[in-house]
Amino acid sequence: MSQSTPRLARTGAAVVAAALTLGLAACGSSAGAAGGGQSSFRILAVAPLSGSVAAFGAGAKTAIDAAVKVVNGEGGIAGRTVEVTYVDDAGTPTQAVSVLQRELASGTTYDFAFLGSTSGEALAMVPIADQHKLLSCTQAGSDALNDGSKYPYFFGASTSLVQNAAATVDQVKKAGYRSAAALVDNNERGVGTLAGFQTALDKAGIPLASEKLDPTATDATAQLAKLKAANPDVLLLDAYGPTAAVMLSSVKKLGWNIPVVGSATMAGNDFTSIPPAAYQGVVLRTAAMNITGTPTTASPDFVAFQKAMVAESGGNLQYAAETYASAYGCVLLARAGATAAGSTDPDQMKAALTKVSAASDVKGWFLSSTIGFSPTSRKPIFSSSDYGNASPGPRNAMLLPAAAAG
Amino acid sequence: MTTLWAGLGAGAVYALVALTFNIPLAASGVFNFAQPQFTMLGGFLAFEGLRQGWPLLLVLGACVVVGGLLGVLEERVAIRPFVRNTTSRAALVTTVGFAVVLEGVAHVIWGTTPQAVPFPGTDSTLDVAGGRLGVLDLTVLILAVVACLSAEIATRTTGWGLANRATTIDPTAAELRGIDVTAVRRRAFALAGALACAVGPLVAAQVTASVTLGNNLLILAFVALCLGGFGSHVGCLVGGVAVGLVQALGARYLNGDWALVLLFAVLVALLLARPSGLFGARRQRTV
Repeated sequence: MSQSTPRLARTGAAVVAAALTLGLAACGSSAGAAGGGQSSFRILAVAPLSGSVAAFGAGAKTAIDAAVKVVNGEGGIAGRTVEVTYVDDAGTPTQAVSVLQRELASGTTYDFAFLGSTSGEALAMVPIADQHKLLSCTQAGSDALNDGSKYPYFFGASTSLVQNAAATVDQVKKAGYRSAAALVDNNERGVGTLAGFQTALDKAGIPLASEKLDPTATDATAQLAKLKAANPDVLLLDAYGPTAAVMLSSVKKLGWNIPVVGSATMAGNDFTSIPPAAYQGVVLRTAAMNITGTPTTASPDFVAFQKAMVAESGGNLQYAAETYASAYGCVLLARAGATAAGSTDPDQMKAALTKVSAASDVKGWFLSSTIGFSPTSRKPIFSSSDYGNASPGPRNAMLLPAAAAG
Repeated sequence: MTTLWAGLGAGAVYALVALTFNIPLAASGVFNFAQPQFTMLGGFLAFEGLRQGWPLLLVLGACVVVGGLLGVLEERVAIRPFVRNTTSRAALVTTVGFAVVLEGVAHVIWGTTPQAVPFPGTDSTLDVAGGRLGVLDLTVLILAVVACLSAEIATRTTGWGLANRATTIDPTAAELRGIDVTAVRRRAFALAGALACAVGPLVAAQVTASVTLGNNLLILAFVALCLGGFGSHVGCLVGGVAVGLVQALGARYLNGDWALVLLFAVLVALLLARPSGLFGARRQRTV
């Protein structure tokens, strides 16, 4: 009798089983609450307060707390003091659904909900909140939520991937480039942005060559070499996290001397984590609220937001203003709905918010020059004037330096 | 040619991580899932050390010491209590646990924001054979060749290598012949830990130090090990380079989405033809 299975081979097979175990290993949640009296305007905030995106959740909490202090200082919502109950979903859609259902079944009546910092969480929770006629808002930028016929009780405060992509293409047109190449992260956000690039460039008659980069990649030279072969006038980059550094470093490694425009996503990176030589000469197209010296950041409402954020965080603001503003704006929308409706009844607030059109309809709003909610559109309209050009570099109080060319 | 160099550079990283999988595997039969997390930790140590103005050699030395000590610690708390029962695969699961602990600690200390590691040569490139090669890529490539070949030669020609092989094949018989099996295993974990941690600054200089770095390397380094063959250090080099080249050439000449598909197709085809990988040993034992 012969045996041809050595010990190492058996170990190799067992590795697969352990890999599956790993996927099931990390599940857990924690909840924190700041509840209050019966007459309070209650906001339920489901956010990633632990897990891999906990820093976003912490940022959202800071922004919501800052907004609540401002709103309460101005008389609350419909005369009621605003109180927030925070629930941790660890950034995972399954836990998000679980904790939301638990809260909705708890007997506590919520007037408004903040549903997550990532698209995965928001897309999982918004349909459930809608079924319970609970008005909701999120920090996540997914365009799939921008559908009032599908999610009638949802109103967003963030920019959308499509609008951000269109703004990047505006810069391409403005600079007179006649062909473009794009390298994006191969994930939901990157693919959505690429679709936005394609649509806007098609409209402008500008051909696009594109490639996607796996989020675990350690090098992008091959993808960039392929794009270089298409001989474009400009390179558009869309990445967040380690791949941003990989893309920028690979452009230099390839020795490709081409104008580079970074998307709004790229602008969200912490540029202290990227070697300065890698981003030299790069222009970032991002929301004006993220850039020093724009009309938006000079406005009194932005200054009030900035002051509230610095006070709430003790000055420890890691992300771009937009990241916090999209959570801050949710509280402003809740107040605007109740004020316009003269009530905190969800159906009346929904009807009132659906008619919100101008930025002046929402007290304290600085994010965009128009809001433009309608029975179908549930995200603010960020037009070309709501964007600007920034230079990569360290942020000062959430703001990037303006690009030299403006 | 630039694409080839890029593939070789990325492949060298996978080869080095695969080697750090292979060293304890070849000495104890235990697959250490936590190994890429040592590389992640080395990246963060370099970030901290260079930020404090430490000389490069001190940073690398610190990585070697910390990685080695952590390897010893892992062997003591996550391996030794479980390997006595040869039918148990508990040690495999505890290495996953150790990986989660290392990642968690890094998360608590450094958070989720990637950190730049200003390693010398990060921005420098060389024109070689009609293509551009990053100095850092070249450094990693040379290191991978030297490390894999040295490990292979040491395994074949030294008493240490003989003890490793004996321990893997039959730990009980090895112990009866006077080999300190526990010491063999401890040395292997210390060596792999030191190497993985010392590689960290080089990898992090290319892709930044981030808590996801270890997990990002895990799959492709494992594929490199499968391709090269479990137990073969030269196989790690060949497997790593093959993974890097297939990935780079796939991305260059196919749609990017197909590069990984191509890679796994190559892996499946090879494993069907040679289940033990390119250089993995197949033993036959008559009983």
